[in-house]
Amino acid sequence: MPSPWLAVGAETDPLTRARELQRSWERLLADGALGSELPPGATAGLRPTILESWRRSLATGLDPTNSLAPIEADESEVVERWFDHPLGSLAHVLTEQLRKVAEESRSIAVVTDASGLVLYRVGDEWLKERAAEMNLVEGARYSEAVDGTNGIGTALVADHAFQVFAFEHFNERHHDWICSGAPVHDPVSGRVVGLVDLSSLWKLAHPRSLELVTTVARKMEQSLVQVRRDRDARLRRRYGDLLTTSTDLLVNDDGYVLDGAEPSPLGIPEGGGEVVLRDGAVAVAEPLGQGEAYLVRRAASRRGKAPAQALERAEKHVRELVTEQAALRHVAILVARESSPDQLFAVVAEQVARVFDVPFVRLVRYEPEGWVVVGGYSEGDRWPFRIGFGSPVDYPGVIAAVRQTGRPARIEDYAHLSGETAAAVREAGIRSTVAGPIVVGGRLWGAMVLLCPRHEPLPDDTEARLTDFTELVATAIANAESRVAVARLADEQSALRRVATMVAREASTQDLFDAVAEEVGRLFPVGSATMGRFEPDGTVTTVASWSVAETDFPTGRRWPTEGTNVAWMVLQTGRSARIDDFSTATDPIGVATREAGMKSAVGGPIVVEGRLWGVMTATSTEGPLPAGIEARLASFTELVAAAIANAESKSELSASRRRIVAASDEARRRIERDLHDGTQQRLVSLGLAVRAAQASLPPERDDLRAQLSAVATGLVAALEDLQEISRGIHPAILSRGGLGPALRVLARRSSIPAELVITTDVRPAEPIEVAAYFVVSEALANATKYSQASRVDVSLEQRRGSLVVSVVDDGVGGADPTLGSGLVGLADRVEALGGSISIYSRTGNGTQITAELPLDLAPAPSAP
Amino acid sequence: MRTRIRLWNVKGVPLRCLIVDDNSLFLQGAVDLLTREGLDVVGVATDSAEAIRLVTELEPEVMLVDIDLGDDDGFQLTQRLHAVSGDLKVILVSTHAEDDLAHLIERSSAIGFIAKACLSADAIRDTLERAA
Repeated sequence: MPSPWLAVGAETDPLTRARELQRSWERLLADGALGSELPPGATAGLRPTILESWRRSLATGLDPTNSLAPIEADESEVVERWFDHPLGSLAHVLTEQLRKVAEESRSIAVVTDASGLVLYRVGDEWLKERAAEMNLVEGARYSEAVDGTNGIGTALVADHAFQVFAFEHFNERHHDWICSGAPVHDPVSGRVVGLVDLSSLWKLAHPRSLELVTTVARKMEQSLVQVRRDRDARLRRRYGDLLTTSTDLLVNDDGYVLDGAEPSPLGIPEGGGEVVLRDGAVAVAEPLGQGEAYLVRRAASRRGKAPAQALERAEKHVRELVTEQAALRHVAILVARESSPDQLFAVVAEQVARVFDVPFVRLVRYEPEGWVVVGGYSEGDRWPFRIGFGSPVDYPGVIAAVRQTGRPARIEDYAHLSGETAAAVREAGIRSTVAGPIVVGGRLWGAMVLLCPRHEPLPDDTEARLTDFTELVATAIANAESRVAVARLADEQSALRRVATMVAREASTQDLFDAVAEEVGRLFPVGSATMGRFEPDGTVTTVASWSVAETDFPTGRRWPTEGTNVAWMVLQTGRSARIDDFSTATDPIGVATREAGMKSAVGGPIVVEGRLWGVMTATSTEGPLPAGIEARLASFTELVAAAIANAESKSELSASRRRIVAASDEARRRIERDLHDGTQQRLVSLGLAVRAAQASLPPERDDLRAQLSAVATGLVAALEDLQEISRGIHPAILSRGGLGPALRVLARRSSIPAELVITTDVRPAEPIEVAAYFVVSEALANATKYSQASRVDVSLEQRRGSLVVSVVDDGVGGADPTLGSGLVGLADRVEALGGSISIYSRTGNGTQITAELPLDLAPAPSAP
Repeated sequence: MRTRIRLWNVKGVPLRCLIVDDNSLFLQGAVDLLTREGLDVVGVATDSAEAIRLVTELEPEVMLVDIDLGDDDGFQLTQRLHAVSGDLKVILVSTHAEDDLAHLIERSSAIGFIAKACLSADAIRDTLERAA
């Protein structure tokens, strides 16, 4: 009896089977003949499970020849739902696994929630695009009720791994596809939390995709179990000291005892209350935290004086807290001071070494192949695994284990482990290691490793305690990456401004080409930047070129394109292209590129009024150009295209610049939000935990209480540092209260006495408020630094339909008329929004900075 | 001398407190701390709708309301709460400094502000005494 779940067994010829199914589909669905009275044999060859599913689909009124899965959530909503989903929280582990299985099975891997809403896809771009044609995209619902029989919806209905092949799909649009879906269940409740599916074109499909997807679903379920176990370990650590008698129990919110003593859960009423234990005794469950755990005490026991054992535990816990919080505070201050990641790594590693009392700590970053040490601490002179030490392969060990599982790992015996890394560990006299993952933005970035030479293994709660540190490191890395992104955006904005000025002045096209080539060359880490125009005969003429060294691409020279070069690829596809290896090139451009010492090239199309006009090429002498450079090049090629099409140039320009302002605002808001939601909340929680520990101390331990107070004070100081940073990035009060309240705060904080006069309460669009706020903030900062003024007047008013903000000081004047670095960036921003900024400053006569901004953002130009 | 702080209302019973915040990390820490310090935390809410519902159900005496409630606004919630229960004492909390939001805090009907980092039963008592 063939399996009801499998559509195409190994012995079946897919083509023949597809033809059979096509006939059935056409007869029964397309012609609407699937009723209750059917001629005998009409449904022969159809799996009963498919037939039932077709009946259900028809009953919901779907039209098999005219249906499209509905899109129910937009991009940002999907991202939110994905990260809130239990499987989404495993994203940093799942992504890699799913990508591999998708590649192996020549399909795309799709993850949905329990209702069939697609949350995540991974796979080859071309296949994702094909899938998009039938709305198999993030945010679409693929339940049987809205799309008919398919590998996702039907598997969910059956609550079993299920495969749907070709014409078995109810919806005509899926007939080229084969989909295998496997539901994923919550390990505790057994309920379905979501589904993983492998979809591919059946003519290319892997014969064992149902098996593969079932294995993936099982692995996900195992991961969910692990996540639960980790969480229980943290609960144990947080509340362990509340157990005062040997019969007290700590229970998690599903009712399972944390030390695993009871195999089945206790039935605890929500919010706590009476519980009957397995031995029949009555106990009382008290909720802890926000009901994340319960303390279960037998009714007979009294919460009297804590016995010596519990006191000892409480003391030990306080000592640990004090050391840890001191270390964390130290690290948080570094985060606040925007120290470079390298500095941070060194300090964190040292703090961690102290807290866990180990001689060696290492921070490693995962590379596409293997890993590299990026920071660490070593006691004394020995430095096993120096910074820069890398392993190109994941040999068995904690670093590999963390990479595979995305969870902490430990090894307590290196004696029998194989591989180069293990040998090096043994050589260094290390007996055991513990490593914890560093997850940045949902991505597994690297790991922190503790190396210990002692015989006794590191305590059980090491992994849980290490998480506080790895999370802080992750925040620091995320901040550093965001800051780099913001700085880059600012550079791009300036470059675009310079080019925009040329366009506005109607500079000659040649001057413009030269300027853009140079800007691209300077902005991106390239060896050369070239602009070429495609000729009708398929050749390309170099119209501008910029290079670090002697250029081999003189302006005016014409080249045949066919061959190993990006110009040819762009000409063929009309899309960005990249080449990372010119060693086999035999065509003129490819050979010249190689001989110029260039190792990789990226080309972006220049499209003028819908027509492929030419190509902008950036090359590099050192290895592949960074990913994402194609998109950034696009801003410039768009400008060039606009300039060439002169008529639209000015409005296209403004749109580009406005886009960058918006992107930069968005990036800053994100940083501020991360700082607020991440690091600051974390520090606050630590402070609360410290005070909670204080409240639970035995009355005699004033010494410990004093230590904890010092720590709490330090945490508050670190928080104030972070608040200062936040204010400089994106002040919270601006979004909430508007310019008025925000400027009042600036005036109050100003070290030079400031008078504020506001005669308007209009609230223009947010980018305009942000720009006005930062003009005042920067102007006040400059006045404080240079003006030696005794007073400064700030005004905000509405004049001639514009918002005008002005900062005037009575200081020494003589300010740089070209605005100085801080204000130049702001000038870009103000001008991009359609405003203007000016400075009047005569020596001895004070300085006035005025910005005029429109009240509304100009509407975006319609697409060409 | 025990340092357990007890906050009593006139009837000699621990003060009933409700906390509103969308950040579960903070909620856990706050409930833990305040309970150990002797307050009676009767409930928690993560958004405005839940907060209003619980106020009528549980009748707390003092409320801690976070200014940043995800999509909701702590200032607006304070207004709505006072429309429902005029005697309710609302204390605003935030990770942002009081200074940054002073103007808006003064304008609201809350009786005071406590920085989240300085939250404790003592701080709540001080704020209540100052407002009395």
